[in-house]
Amino acid sequence: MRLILRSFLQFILVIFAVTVVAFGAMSYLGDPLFNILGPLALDEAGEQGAEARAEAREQFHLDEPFPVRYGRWVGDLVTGDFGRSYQNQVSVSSILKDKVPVTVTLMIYAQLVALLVSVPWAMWASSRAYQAVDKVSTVTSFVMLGIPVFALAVLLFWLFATKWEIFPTRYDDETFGAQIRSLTLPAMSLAIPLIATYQRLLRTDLITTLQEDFITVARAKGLSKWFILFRHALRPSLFSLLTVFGIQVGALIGGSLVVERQFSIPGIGAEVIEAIVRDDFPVVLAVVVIVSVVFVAANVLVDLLYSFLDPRVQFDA
Amino acid sequence: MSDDLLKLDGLSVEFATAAGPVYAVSSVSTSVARGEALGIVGESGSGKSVTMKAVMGLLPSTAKIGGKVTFDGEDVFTMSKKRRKHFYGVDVAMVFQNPMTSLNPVKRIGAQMMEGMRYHRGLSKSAAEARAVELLDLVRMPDAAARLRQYPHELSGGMRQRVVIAMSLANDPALLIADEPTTALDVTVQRDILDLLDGLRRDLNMALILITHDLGVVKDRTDKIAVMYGGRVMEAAPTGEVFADTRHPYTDALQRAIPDMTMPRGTRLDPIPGSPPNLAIEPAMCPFAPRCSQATDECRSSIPPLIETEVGSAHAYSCFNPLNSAPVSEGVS
Repeated sequence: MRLILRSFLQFILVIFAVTVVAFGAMSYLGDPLFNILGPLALDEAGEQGAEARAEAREQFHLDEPFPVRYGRWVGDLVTGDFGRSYQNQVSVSSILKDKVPVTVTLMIYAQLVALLVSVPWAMWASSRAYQAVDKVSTVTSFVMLGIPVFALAVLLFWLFATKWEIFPTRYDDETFGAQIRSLTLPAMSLAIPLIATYQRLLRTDLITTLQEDFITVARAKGLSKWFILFRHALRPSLFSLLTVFGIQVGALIGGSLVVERQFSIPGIGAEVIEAIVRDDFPVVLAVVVIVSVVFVAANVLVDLLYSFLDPRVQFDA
Repeated sequence: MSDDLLKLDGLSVEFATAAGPVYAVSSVSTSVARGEALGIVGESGSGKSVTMKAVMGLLPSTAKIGGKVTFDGEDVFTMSKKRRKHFYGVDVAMVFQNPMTSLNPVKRIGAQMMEGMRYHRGLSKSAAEARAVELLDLVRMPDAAARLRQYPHELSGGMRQRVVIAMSLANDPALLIADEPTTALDVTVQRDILDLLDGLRRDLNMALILITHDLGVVKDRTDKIAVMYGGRVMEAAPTGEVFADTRHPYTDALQRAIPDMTMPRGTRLDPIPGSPPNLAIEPAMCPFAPRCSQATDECRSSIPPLIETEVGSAHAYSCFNPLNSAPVSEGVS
């Protein structure tokens, strides 16, 4: 219980820090008035300009001091109101509503593929550690790590979508099946370096675990190699993998910006790039908040999972 | 003897290392019958653990194993994969030196005890659970049923070794190999565990191989003893004879190193001078010769064969200059 309370407080603290920094940066960089009104903001003389400026100041509370504006923004935030876009004053929620699930689906898809491939691969490699097949698999994983995500995205798109036409070139989410098909190549682009990272980490930890006395005991019990790998070696070997998994949740968001562009997927990646270009701060801020909440939540979950993996892990200290 | 349960016949183990081969075990022959207790005694590096690990198939792939091991007349090294699993999981069980690391830290005691029964015998969960409680009672673990839900770190070293022993008995092995089962434990707990093993052997009519560096440990708990040094058997005999009619100078030196409660205060134990042999050199002489007070040139130029005190005797030693050897043995043959 204490553990959950502590995790929650940590969560709040991190989100507070992230939002203050992000909100501060957005408020003091550039001139929001110009971003909202365009050239009209510069029309010092015209009556129309002055009126529009006053209206915009009023609507976006630009005249109030920073803490008040921050407080107002957070207050709206917790009720699910992300404010209005500077562009044509649509609500940010309505802009992001359909995009967040797409990106989240893509990220979950990529992580699932990465785990489902890397875990068995690492187990297999560790059971043949330092043998020829393990060395081949090590080289393979380094190649996979070495290709940048944008190059992978281009390559996969060209091979599987354009040339062989196995996967669609256009995003389609008429049905869930079609959506998964559309997201397969982007997910692979993100997953391939992840697979290699996870495989390297888990293989090393498994090799260490396999030297433990309790593995010898399990072998002396006449249990099969895969039984020992799954039931004895895997769980105590998952710590590094889990830690990096949490960090990769954040890194994947960066990767998805690139991938979403290449495959023209209407996710938050594509949206936030546009928003940055047109200095649409409310949209950028909303994305920063969503991303940091997801990232911090994933890492709190990782912390909780440590104690599930190893009953000796206690957080009360 | 035909009723040998486990028989080692000229077992050798070489490890291939980057610096060349290491001769860990050289032509070791010994045996244990059903219900019998064999003690294998030797210091670190004598090859006693490697010998038993070779039997249990626990050596790394760099080990080259020679000789023959039979279980109930069946060649262990030529067993089919399936038979092998059954052999390790059911026929023979092993208890290791360090109970602190012998149990998986992230699995409950119950799960670890039950997996072998379920894997090899297909017991149902409830049957395996009942059996696990029964086994914990057998090793006199207090509050057995509650232990199943606990993790290893919640138990003391002595209790963990009891769990390990109980676990090893899960499938009623005909032979239990205990590799220094008490070395890592408190002195006060050591005796309990040794007596427990001894009692279990009698109650379950199970053969026991007790590996130790302490001759005192096997003195009252075994039927026969094999003393190993430098990967070889130095002396093998029924336990009583090892002490009453010691032939090998190494066995003698080991006995002098056993502390005795009746010794006057301040008595110094006799350490054995020198250090164990370098096993990376191909054996060409008695491994004990450099540390032996009786050594002659013969000892340094050839390996003494294992000879019986009398023809057909169970007492054998490998020494050119044995102790207590009345010339009578010459007359008998």
